[in-house]
Amino acid sequence: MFRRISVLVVAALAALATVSPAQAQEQKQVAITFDDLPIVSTVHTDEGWAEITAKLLGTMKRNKLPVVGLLTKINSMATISLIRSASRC
Amino acid sequence: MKAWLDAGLELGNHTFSHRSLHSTPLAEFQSDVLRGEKVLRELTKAKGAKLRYFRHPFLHTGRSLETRQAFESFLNTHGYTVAPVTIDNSEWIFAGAYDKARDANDPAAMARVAEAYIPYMESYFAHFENLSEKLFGRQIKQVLLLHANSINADHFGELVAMMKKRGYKFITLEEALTDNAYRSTDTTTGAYGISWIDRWALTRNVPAGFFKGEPRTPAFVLKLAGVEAG
Repeated sequence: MFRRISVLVVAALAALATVSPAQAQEQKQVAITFDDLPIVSTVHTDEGWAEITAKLLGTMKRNKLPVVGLLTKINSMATISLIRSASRC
Repeated sequence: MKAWLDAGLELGNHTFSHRSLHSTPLAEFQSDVLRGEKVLRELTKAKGAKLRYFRHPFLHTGRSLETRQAFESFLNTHGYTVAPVTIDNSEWIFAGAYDKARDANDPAAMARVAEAYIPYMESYFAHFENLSEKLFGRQIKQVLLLHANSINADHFGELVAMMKKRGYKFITLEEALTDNAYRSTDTTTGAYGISWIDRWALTRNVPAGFFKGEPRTPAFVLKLAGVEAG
């Protein structure tokens, strides 16, 4: 019986030893941000941009990532065309 | 852009034409912010989405305290919060190399760049975790900077897996900014665009050795991208 208890105690201590350092260590946290939206690439076709956007958004959705995107270069033709096509949706 | 909003992602202002506050007169720079806001307002209004974050192009925050403070009070007046970056990196160089390899129909070179990309980004996480520990004695809530480019379209999933493997939980920028680290003083006015961890450290006058160990971009990636150093 004692032996059984001591085995349990040892097991519990071992569990604590492996768990507590991990618990003591703060949870690492990161916020993901994307700059220069809509796209920065040598790809300049509407189809190319749509593909890059779809792939990025697919990964974000699959992993439920809360992301902030920072928008710029709104003067480029490609951006204007993307915004126009988006506003048609 | 509607696709991003539809996906539940938040959009922020990064100016209309991505000029640097270090080389653009303040008044012009501010009107570039407001020009950018016009388009963003249309996009976010339709979705009932918030518009609250501003990020400095090139992470250039101003060459004098007067400019910095004047611009920050302008942002305040217009309802913006600065979106800082702690895990700054040169992912854009890998993206450039990846694009060039793709444009040259060289899938082997694309694969080499992609293969180096994930370990490179992981070394940046290790670097800023280390600086976070040295400066704050703990792991602060980090903010990662990436770009919407081809290499991330193809390999962002691997990057996410790497972060998970390092024990990261993904949080909103709003949540990250609740960390007291972001209340630290930053009086840097150098001709650079750097991590906020580096800025807080510089403001505290840490010895130069503090910054040691910043990862380097592999030479073959620099060469392929046509970039001098990174």
